[in-house]
Amino acid sequence: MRVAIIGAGVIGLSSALCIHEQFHSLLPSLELEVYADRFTPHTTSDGAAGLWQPYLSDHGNLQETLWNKETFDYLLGQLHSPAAKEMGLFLISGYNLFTEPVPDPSWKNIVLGFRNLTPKELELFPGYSYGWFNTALMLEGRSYLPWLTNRLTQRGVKFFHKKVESFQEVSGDGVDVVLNCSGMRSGHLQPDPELQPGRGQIIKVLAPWVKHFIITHDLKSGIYNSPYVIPGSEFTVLGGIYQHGNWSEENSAKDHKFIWDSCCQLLPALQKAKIVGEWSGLRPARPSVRLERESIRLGNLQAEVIHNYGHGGFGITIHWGCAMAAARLFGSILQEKKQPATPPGPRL
Amino acid sequence: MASPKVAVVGAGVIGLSTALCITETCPSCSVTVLSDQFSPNTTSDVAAGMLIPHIYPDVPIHRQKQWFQETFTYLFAISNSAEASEAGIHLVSGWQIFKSIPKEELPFWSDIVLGFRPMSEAELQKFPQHRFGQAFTTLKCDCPPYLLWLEKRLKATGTQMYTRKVVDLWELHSEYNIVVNCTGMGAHQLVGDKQLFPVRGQVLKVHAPWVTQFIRDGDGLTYIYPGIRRVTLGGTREKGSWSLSPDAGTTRDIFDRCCSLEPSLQGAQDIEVKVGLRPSRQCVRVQREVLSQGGVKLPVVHNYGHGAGGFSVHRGTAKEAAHLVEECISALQDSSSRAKL
Repeated sequence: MRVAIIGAGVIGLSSALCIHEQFHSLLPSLELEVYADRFTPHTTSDGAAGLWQPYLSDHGNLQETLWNKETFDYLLGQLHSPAAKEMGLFLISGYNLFTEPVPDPSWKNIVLGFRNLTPKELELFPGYSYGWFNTALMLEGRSYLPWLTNRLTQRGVKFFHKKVESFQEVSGDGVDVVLNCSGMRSGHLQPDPELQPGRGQIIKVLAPWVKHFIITHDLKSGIYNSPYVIPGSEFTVLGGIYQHGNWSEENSAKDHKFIWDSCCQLLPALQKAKIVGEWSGLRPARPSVRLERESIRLGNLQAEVIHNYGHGGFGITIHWGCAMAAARLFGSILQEKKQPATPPGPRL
Repeated sequence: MASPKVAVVGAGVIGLSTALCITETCPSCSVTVLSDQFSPNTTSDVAAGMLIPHIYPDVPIHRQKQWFQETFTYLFAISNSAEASEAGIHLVSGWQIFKSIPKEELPFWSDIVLGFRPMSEAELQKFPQHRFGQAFTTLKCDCPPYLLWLEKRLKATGTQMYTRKVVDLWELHSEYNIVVNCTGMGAHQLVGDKQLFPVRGQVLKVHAPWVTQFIRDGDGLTYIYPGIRRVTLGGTREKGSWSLSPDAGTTRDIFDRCCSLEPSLQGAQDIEVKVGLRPSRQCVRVQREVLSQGGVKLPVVHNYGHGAGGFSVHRGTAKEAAHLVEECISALQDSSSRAKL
């Protein structure tokens, strides 16, 4: 049984690991291969700050909220393991700021210690009159992806540096199942007008005195179009750009100015912070995550494709729940192929 | 008296902040700081600088609360300004945890720190050996940055600073009108205060930048305080011990205790061991005194004995000491005008 995973970001690697963990002992012939043209540290996942936080509203998509919760609970369980540091996993507290009262988010009971901000706390943030405080998790892509890669390599998973142009390319070769984790570029493999870039730009600075994440929200301009500051283990990420439909991965001077000015206004001490980098990336945005099976007829062959893409600006937040769902889909494919193996655990 | 000459003895957080307060309340004063040690070699440099008050048994609670409130307000404003990083002042959130439910669930300072509330069940799961906890956000003064920032502010006011070991306060009477004694543990020798005793503290300063939350066991013995560049792991409270030498067994013990609260510390690097003697007293001595010797008078203001709570109340006691200096100046002016009559 050969499985090809297209994409080596957080979605591709975690899906591969989840499937291997659940099925390799039951299916000795299981061979996993990861195909990607970009590996860490050049994936979209590497550019993200790594904060676990879903969007403000799940728009009634309870499935995604459940996947977010599964991811948080899984990571929380890993926090005290010796692997945590290598994974780039740690606890972090911080602030979400608003200019008006808003309903509590779908994730208020998933994170730790969620509460509203007190008047004295709001004094820290002139211009904002309402907000939340909670403790969440950081999972830094530039540590987590190498960690996933090491786990997969140890398990004998093979990696191929290749730009895959079509499903046929991998499936025609005797591959039974294809996992499409190609993120932003899924549209090249199969057109999907619902998948659009949500371009982001970030400035990396040295500001080790910042110990909290601070995310501001402007309900009119939409998610992540308002300044945010997210401290990491080696540098602090300043951001606040979300441009729907913009495919450019070039840093923009105008966006730089917006990020810098608005973050320094939010945290005056940042004026003294040293800039150590800048990066632009494309959030693979979609009205909902595409996580489903598809049978693709290629000549006289039939390939099973499991799509797992469109995680927008919450890929790290949702990745493990989706990986487990993808593994369940894989299990159902095995069932249909009348393999003796059955996956452990609940099915989708 | 046109320009009273004030000598502040001691250059830890108490000496420097008191000197600064004096320049603020008495701009005509000429202030000089004298100390045998300056940052990074003061007791303050060993401390983590967390704003979590220590309770002084013989100081009325309302006075301790005022000291803490003044200090917190002062530092809060700095943390929110462009100077925060240079001053080494930053907010930090975390937990104080207890193995058994404390007598006082709401300490006097719970409404001064930010967002104080009991920990949730989910949060307590991180600490299986602890049954109760408090979550809040407070401030931290990182040293050396904070002391260096105070020194810079002082220099800007024209304050001179000299390395000098003062053995006897009387050696200053010919050069200075008023002496302010901020010598911390040094007061034991300098003014013979037998109520002052050391409480030895050993700490580890480690590189562990993924630790963003403070954790403090309510017994005050085990704590993890993330600073700008280092995390302070503590600690010990050895009453009566004068030893400034690090103890290897203690280092191992502190590390183990902290790792049991925060397992990821196993990966900490660059462990630096430091020792400080908390200048402890049943009450902080913020007091005016007029020393007298052979017809000569020397006004002295004492500000020492802050024990484990120096950073938490430093600005509040500094302001009180500065007011006492003003009283000394008035008294000197009264007596000199009486002398003229």
